[in-house]
Amino acid sequence: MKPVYLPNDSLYDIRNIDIQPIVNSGTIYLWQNYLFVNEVGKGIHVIDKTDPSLSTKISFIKIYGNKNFSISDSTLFADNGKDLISIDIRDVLHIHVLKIVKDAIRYDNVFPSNFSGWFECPDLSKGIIISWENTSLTNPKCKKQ
Amino acid sequence: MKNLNLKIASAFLVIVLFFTACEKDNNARLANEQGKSGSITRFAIVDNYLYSLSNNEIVVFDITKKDDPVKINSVKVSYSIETIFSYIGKLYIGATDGIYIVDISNPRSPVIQAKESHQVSCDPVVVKNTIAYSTVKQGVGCNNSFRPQSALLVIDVADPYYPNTINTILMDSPQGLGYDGDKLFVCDGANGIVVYDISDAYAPAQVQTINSVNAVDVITDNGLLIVSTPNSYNFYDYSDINNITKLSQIDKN
Repeated sequence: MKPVYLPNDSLYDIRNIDIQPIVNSGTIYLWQNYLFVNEVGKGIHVIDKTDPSLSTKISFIKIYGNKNFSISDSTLFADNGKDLISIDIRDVLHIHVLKIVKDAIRYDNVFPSNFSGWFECPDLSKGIIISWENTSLTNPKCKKQ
Repeated sequence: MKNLNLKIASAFLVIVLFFTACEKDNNARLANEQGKSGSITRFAIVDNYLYSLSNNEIVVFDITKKDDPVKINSVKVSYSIETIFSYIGKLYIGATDGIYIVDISNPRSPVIQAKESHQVSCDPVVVKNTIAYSTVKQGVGCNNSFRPQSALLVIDVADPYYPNTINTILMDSPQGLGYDGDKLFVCDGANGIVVYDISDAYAPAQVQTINSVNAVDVITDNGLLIVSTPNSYNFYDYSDINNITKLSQIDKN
């Protein structure tokens, strides 16, 4: 495993995109008829559960680096590992960014979760660690048992 | 006299309208404003404040203006913090080495009141009345520390300065948890979900299990149970606790 650092480009390209596969699921949140689910480091799946026996993915809110979020007053508050972003979700299929509070909150995924073995040691000077990916390593120094 | 009656009647009407309007407003607030989070989360909203866990701090935002949230404070806690749960004027922060109880009577200035130290874990906490339920997982997890056993802990938090673990229920691989009334749903990894009756808050009694789901976290919502796994979401109807039925599942693709 090796850390994936937050790139600066495409960081603020926040918008609805087509539904995405669920690869590494994170925080879950129920709001009105929708279930919002974090896809670690990538954004938020939007699931319509109006009829829970026919629940279905309807959109994906792309927020690069996202891991944490909450909702109040039709506003989604989300992080990207370093900024707080408020997003109008009155229409979940057409969201728009209200405000980005830059460098307000730093959150690193310092260790790969649900993993044991050798991994590339994190170097926080390279930026925020948003997720971990599989790789072949030469002479790794960090190990999780 | 007639005039006076009219005035009294008008005043009464105004009062009735006022109360009706308030009631409607409250219902609308409940319906629209806040949703429900799973237990594994680092963000909590209480009224007009957002509390978020950074690497080692509680960061407080004033979110009165949705289009202009403002960072107003940060309080150092520890690098071990993992999850946050808000309940009646307090934040309960699950950390890899215990639970922090944080007073937010002044919402802008959180104050750490106590730390309940337990075996090392990295799992969440929920609170009902004066009892906290938290899970701790055996093995090596979020911070490379070894945990001797996996369990559901029952912690008396009536005195926020002196939390006290009063019961330990051994489990295999407990993770997220949530309750509705006197039913507590605890994710137990590959074992699925274990449902406890907590009518006796100190002594959860197992009443049901939901198998065949690699349960990580849950949300309860008036008979609808939402269960996340590493790569799927599952919906169950638990309105009859003796006959929990699966409604649908959203898979990887």
